[in-house]
Amino acid sequence: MQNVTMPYIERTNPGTLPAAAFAEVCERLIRTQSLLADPHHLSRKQGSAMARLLQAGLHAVGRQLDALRRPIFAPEPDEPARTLSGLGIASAGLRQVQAHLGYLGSRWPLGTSDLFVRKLVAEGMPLPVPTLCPVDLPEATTGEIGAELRERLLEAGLWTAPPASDSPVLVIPTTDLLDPLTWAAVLYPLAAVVVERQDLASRLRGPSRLDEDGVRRLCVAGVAARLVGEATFAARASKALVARLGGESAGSDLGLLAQASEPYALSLETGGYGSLTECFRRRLREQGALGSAWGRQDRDAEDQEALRDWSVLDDFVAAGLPAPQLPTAEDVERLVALLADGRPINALPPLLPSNFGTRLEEGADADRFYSVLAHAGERPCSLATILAGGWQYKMRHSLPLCATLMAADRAWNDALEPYAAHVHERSALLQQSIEGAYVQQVFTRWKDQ
Amino acid sequence: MSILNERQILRRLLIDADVVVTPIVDLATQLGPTSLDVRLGTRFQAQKRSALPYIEPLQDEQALRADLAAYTQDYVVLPTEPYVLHPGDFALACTLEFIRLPADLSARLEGRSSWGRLGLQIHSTAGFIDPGFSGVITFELSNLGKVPIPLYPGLRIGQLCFYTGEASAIPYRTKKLTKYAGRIAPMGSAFYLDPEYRAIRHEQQAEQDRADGPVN
Repeated sequence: MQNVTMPYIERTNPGTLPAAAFAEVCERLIRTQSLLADPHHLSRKQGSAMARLLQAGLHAVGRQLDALRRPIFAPEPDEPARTLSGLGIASAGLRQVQAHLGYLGSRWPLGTSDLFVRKLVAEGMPLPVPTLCPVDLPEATTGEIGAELRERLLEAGLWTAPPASDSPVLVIPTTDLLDPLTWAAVLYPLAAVVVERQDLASRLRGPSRLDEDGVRRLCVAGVAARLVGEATFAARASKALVARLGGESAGSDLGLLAQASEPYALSLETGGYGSLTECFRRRLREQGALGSAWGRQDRDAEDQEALRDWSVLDDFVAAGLPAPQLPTAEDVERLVALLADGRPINALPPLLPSNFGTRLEEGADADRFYSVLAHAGERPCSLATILAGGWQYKMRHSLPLCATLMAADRAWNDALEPYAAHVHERSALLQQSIEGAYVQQVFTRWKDQ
Repeated sequence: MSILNERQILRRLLIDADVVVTPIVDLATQLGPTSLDVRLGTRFQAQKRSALPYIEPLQDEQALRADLAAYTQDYVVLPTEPYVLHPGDFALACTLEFIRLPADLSARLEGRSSWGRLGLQIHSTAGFIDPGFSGVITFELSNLGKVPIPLYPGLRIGQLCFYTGEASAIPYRTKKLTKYAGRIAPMGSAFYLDPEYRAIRHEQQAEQDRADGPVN
């Protein structure tokens, strides 16, 4: 793996946000390229014809990104407003290409994403296991498909009964199938299902002074954070960042972008989960720093009120959902180091006693040998731990690597290809981590009983 | 070249830490006197019938990959669901474990007798793992028996034996023309990337040019 020479991006701020946004758009371009290169649809006439059309679209997006390299990565970059506006054009173009992926007529296998929530449930989270539906349509539903469809039919004058099955059906964007770090965003609509089924919003409405929609959104964010910690904010924020880029044309509403990037900055924080209140407090701290830099109005009073609500929500959520199994700061360092070494993070190495080597040498008979083994087991990682490690790795290695490659004086494809290799390797290692940890968990739990 | 015993394997895994095998679900079950059992992963690539008469290795790479895809189907299987390998079927799968070997260690993948007795073959030719290998090991699964075999992820279907030797100057990760280094999923055959096909293609073109050229 290429050495990273850039300093870590410690915070997303007006200076680093265009670089981070550039990397996000690049990663989506890379994933879309991978889908188009899938030989399964190239083997059909319709698929290969559409792939050629969409490739032309991707080339246009690539040209736009190439033109932004110097303004963003030069030692003295252009104004963020101008470069973000340029990124908005690339993002909007990419969205158009993605919206036509369905025309390839391919069946998209869910792959490891199908194991994702199942692993969370196997860890003890009392959740309904959703069915994921890969879709790339601009008007795709954002919540539980069944509920939204019933609502749309009702608007048309038709009433339909909810199905007997309690398995929610959720949308996952096709391009997200390739990147496990984005999967945490699926937990938002799943959290919405939990909030709805447990009627959490109405229970909180008493103590809260927020309006009905505010309480509901607070509850959903709280439950989502409870499932895998701040990775869920990071995934959602990275999506929001690109979406906002694409949706907001020239001029780029800096305040809106700052808002989208707040949780993204939050995910840079190392450390444990603590409580939702602590999460939210950190978020406010970041928000304050970003807000003043980006010329936002002071929302301190409103935020303090939300913080009080968050504290109440904390108790509600804690009563119904176990705390996510997040890594310690030391664990995060180990996980990031493993990924940087090209190794999966399904488990952390065992904590060996200091005399382990001596005991191993002495273990020449079966009894002594097996007693040595008792201290040699790996520590399997939870889904929250894998995602936290993955996001930290992305922040510390992927984004600086992108900046280094894009700043260099080389042709666009020569800059993009090594970044694509890095992104594919990161995703493959995280998928392998989730699969390995899930199977290990199944067998370890049985052994412990 | 000598084979590592269980304590030497453990030393290389945990103390020297220059051999990586992860996850190891249960060392006590997986370690043998001179072997380490490996488990079946969650991903499979099955072969299916196609209308194509054959795969022409001399066509351009994109068309070749499309042809190969017409013969294959990828699956990810849950730990509680079986992938059923029917008699006569062939499928690729991979180890649950990610494996990395140092430059002085090679390994050999072997089947386990319990599965062999059912007719399950886990590799047909590629049982040797070079020093410096990094990634998952591909199983070439064949059912040579008469009954369908349900295969669940996590089952111990193979074992690795480790052999020490002098450090290789070209461990697998640095060797030129490696086709499967660093793979973390079962990958179909990349036989067409062998340089011999370039030579054949080159020679075919030369023959064509000679046939089309002026007659003296």
